[in-house]
Amino acid sequence: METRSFDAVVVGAGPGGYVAAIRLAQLGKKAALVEKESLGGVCLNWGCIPSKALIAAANLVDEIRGAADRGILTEPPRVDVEKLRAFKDQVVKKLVGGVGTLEKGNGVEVVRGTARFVAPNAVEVKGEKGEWRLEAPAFIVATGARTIQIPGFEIDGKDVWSAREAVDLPEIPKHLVVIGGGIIGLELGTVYAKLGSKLTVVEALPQILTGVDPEAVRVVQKNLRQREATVLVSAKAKGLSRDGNGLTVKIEIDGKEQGIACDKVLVAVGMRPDASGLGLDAAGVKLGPKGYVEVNERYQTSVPSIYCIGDLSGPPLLAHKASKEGEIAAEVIAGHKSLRDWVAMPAAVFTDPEVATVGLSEEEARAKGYEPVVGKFGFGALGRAIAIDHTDGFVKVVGDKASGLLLGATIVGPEASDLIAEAALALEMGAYLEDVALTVHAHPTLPEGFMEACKAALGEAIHALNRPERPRKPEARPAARA
Amino acid sequence: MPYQLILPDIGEGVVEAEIQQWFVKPGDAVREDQPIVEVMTDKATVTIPSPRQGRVARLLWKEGELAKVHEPLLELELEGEAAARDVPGSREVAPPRPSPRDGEGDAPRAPLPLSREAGEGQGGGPRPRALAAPAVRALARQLGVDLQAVPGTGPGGRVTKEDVNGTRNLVNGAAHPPASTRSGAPAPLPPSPQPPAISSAAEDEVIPLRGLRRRIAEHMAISKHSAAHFTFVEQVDVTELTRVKERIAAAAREQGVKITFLPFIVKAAVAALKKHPSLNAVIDEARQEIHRKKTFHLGIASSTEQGLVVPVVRDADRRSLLDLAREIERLGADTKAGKVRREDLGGSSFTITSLGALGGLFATPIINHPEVAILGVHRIRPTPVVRDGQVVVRDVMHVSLSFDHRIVDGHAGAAFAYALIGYLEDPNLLFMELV
Repeated sequence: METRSFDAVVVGAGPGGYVAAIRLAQLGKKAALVEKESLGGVCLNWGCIPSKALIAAANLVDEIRGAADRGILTEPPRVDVEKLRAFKDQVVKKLVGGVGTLEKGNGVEVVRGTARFVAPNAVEVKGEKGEWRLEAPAFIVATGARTIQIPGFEIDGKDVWSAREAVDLPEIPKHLVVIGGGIIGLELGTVYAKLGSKLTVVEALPQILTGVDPEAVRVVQKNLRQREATVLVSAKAKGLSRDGNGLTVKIEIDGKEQGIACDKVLVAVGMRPDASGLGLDAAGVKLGPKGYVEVNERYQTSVPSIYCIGDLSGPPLLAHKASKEGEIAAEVIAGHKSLRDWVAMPAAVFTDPEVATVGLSEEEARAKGYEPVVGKFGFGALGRAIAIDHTDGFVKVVGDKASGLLLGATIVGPEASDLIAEAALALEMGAYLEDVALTVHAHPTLPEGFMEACKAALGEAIHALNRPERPRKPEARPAARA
Repeated sequence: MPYQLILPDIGEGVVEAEIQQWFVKPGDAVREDQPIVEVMTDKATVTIPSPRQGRVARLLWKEGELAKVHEPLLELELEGEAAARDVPGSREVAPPRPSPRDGEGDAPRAPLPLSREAGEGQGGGPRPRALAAPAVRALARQLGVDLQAVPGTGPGGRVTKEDVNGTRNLVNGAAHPPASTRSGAPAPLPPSPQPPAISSAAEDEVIPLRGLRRRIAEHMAISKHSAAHFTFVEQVDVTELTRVKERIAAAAREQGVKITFLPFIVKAAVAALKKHPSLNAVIDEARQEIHRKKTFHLGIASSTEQGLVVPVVRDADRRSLLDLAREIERLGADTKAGKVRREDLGGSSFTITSLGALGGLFATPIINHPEVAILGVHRIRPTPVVRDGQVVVRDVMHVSLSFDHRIVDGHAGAAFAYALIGYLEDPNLLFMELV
């Protein structure tokens, strides 16, 4: 077995690992990047990127269907599954190729194979083209997370899909049952619903999108209802039976069992950390109770030479969190004084409409001892939203009543995933509600909603009546009623 | 609540002490009686041991800062408390997550102790975060500046890059510690007009202004800023004194005492001070009072490797010449060896400075505040002088008397100088003063 030495070795080429490797190389470190499958990891190959290609296409179908309302008359759209899949593949290929080019251009050595720790300063990599021992004073482990499987729903890639099969668009089933009403389940379920499937979502908890502001969830739920999707909450998926006509998903609600006939099932109940086969325990790396690797704020594990970033280092499981952590770990290895010090970690859900959050929710702010002040602005009152005919949703901001500091934002509505960026910057810069309210926003645009929400929190919204927070003056009543 | 180690009383009248050196860092386990920190007062350097066993949670002062007596120095986590503190208190937002079936992939992880969230989220209201943009935070980390301790000058108290740079320069270059922390410690005196940042070349040797050097710096600056220095210079014919010294030295050597000029100068100064008591005084700036001393405790400026130290000859008026010589020798040896005792420092009302062989022609000595006068004695050299119309070669020395012109008028200072010169030129007169 050939032994090779590097300044640092990154294991896993997802959005955490590939970024870490580039950053190491930028800082003059001789870096290797080990990947057993495809560069870009789940995000580029089977997650964020392909799903967004499908979501955009599905939204287009949806727009065409609704175009008649605006006087545009077309034939009902038909979907060429092969062609759409080819488009999606093209998108993925382009980005994966781009990662390869970036690694090469920065001088990162990509090693294809499966890595296993044999010492705190060495891994063995087994690949199709050979076996190597890679030695380095520092390692970054970024092997991410894998799909949680549930008994009775073994993923076969044919009838029972995981997200990985679903984004490959094998076909458009007549009736798709999604087990799990979380981000992945709802994003992909909505895609299939828009492409023509009947959709049933089975969620074990009392609410879909657990953790998201319930008021925002209601907007998503209304949309699902309008497209005649069925959402079953507090429902346990018990098992699956097959007969000549197709599949039946058995579920239990309030102790009563029922069956849902369908032709495909998507299992999307969550992700769990994936350190299997890495030999981390042999190297002495300490894992937490849920299987996440314990790290400090410089992403060092209990073994000082081994760093861990991304999903494997703990929630939130987000690609951009992994990338940021990859940069930090690389900088620490290169001797910089970097550490985790972000204030804002935005999260975006690509449902219809999109949901995005950053910072503290009202409850979280209260739990932390703030007296929160909330400002809300509905897209129904925003010129641009009305003009593009996407008026469902709102911007909600949370501030600290005492200081006026912005603490967080939840946006549900058109382009929420884009709009959240401004709130993240504001939080990171330590903005007051007033700072956002006083910043001129171009008209007519969707970000005006964020400005108006901050103004509303200050009781000064222009395009909404500032009713709840301020005691009304008697003479203001007629206007308020109007 | 962590245990707080309080800076104990470390000397009469001592209200603050400079943190010289920490022997521990956050995270270290400490035993009872383990030395924790070395602090320096204007009287002595003291090592403070830990009264308890535990783990260091936080050092509340940086090296070089002035800690106040009776205020906490550091926080210890006593046994059994560390675990209780390690409470999940993530400031990260719980993100929207797929609904977990078996509980995996969920729940915020308890941060490791290194994480700063560990100390927060424990009720008692949110700790105000230092408002600073990411680039400012990165700069602070790079420079090792604690953002919580930087007074922000931006809108709403935001910390700017200039604030961070300014704090760094204060810590590195000026006599004042960084101003108060956000967490409400009483603000120390506002820094005097912020010193301009000096450009530093990579090859410069940078020496932090700490310890004795800082004391000297502060002391000299106070003296120069407050006293109105007036320096009076005159030459002294010490030919006769040299002869007397030689004779006495021979006798003293038999008693194991080395006689120098200094005991004579001390004697002469005491005799002159008795005639001109306005120079044997200290000033109380705060109360605007002059305290004329009835005691004659004379400071003798001495150089050491670390810097200038002024041990004090107590009751110089009540000591014999031999006794004075002995005492001056002892103080000199102790000071050089760094063993000078607390009771040998402070309380003087007049100071003599002598550079010995490097004495030069004359100088402009800086008064040992709060005293009002200082005498510099310089090199003795054979010099042609005119005596009775003839040029003769005599042993001549210059004296430089600096006095605080706020307190001592010119003619009073000059009169004192001539009285002193009189004793030195005719040492027989001194015998009248000898005890």
